[in-house]
Amino acid sequence: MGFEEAYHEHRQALLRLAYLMSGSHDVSEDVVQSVFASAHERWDQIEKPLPYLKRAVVNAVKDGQRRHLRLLSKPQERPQVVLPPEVDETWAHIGRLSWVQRAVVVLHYYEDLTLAEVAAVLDRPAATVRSDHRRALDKLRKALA
Amino acid sequence: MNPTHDDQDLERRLRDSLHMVADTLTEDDFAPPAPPAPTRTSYRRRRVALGIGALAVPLALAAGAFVREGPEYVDTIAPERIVATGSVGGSSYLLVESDRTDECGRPVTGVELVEESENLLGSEWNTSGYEYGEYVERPCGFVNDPTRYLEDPALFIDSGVEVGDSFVWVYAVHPDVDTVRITSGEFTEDLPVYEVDGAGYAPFEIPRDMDAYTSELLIDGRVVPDSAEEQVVRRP
Repeated sequence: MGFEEAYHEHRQALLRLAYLMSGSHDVSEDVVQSVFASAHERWDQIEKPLPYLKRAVVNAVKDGQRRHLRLLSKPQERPQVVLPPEVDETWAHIGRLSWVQRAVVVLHYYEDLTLAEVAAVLDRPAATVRSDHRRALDKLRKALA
Repeated sequence: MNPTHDDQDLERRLRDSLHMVADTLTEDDFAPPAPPAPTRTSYRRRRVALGIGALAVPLALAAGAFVREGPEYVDTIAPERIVATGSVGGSSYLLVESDRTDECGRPVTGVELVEESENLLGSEWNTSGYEYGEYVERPCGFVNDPTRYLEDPALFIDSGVEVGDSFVWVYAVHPDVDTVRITSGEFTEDLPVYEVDGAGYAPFEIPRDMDAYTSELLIDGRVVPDSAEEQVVRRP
């Protein structure tokens, strides 16, 4: 698949993944555009573009959380969408998880990756990711009780 | 251990909620698609793009910046690793030589910024790192490669973090660069450059009342052509 074709085919899926990881439209746009820009020059060397791009997006969101200055130079974030109360409550509590726990939850329950695959994306030991997953569920179970 | 009924309910709720949130996002919610240009841009634009990439893309892809978080725990930092110290709004920080290894098991070059309040003894490390060069993929993983950067002193990495009530912005520059000059209206500050692993590193403590500034790289008192960058600072 060529670069432009991949851009048009995968951009929205990557924007959604970035949004679930960051909760921000602006961060998502910045991250996805930067990831594609970085991937462009080595496109011919990337064997499996979509997994590569997803991993890059997840990592880019993580890095962006410590890069406040650029984000603060952006205009105000647009209004959030209105969600059903149960979804809204769940989404709010997912947003309060630590970055790693949130990543595990999003990749496991949204991207349908196994925990072993999540561990590969996050470059963490599989046992640690299983622990992250268990702790995230414990936290969410208490919060949503 | 099999998941309990409650676990299954929770997992279903998570799955449904995440998909519902994602489904609310359409192309209309984001800026129109604009694929990165297939041809190389001008030299100036290329350098700026690298700077931005360093901010947005981490260890795995772009040059210069990464974040280290747990699971290792804060203990002590050997004094010989400390490159510079400072304080912003009462919050102290250290710039220390990196002691990490990359995905290929090689020592990571460059520095890490360690904010004291974010790295209390016994907590997990939470530092941000800066390395001169760009990340390239090797069979063993992603590693930093400064080769292209070393060919041109105008290339640099800049990135930063919130410290105290303001920010510390770190410049990673060519080894020939000896000063980073910051100007903003009447304000001028020449930042000293610390040599670490063959490249230069200069932290800039952004004053709380500064809204925008320009940075330039200097070698022997002369501005390196095409090295100026304008930075806008907007605070919450």
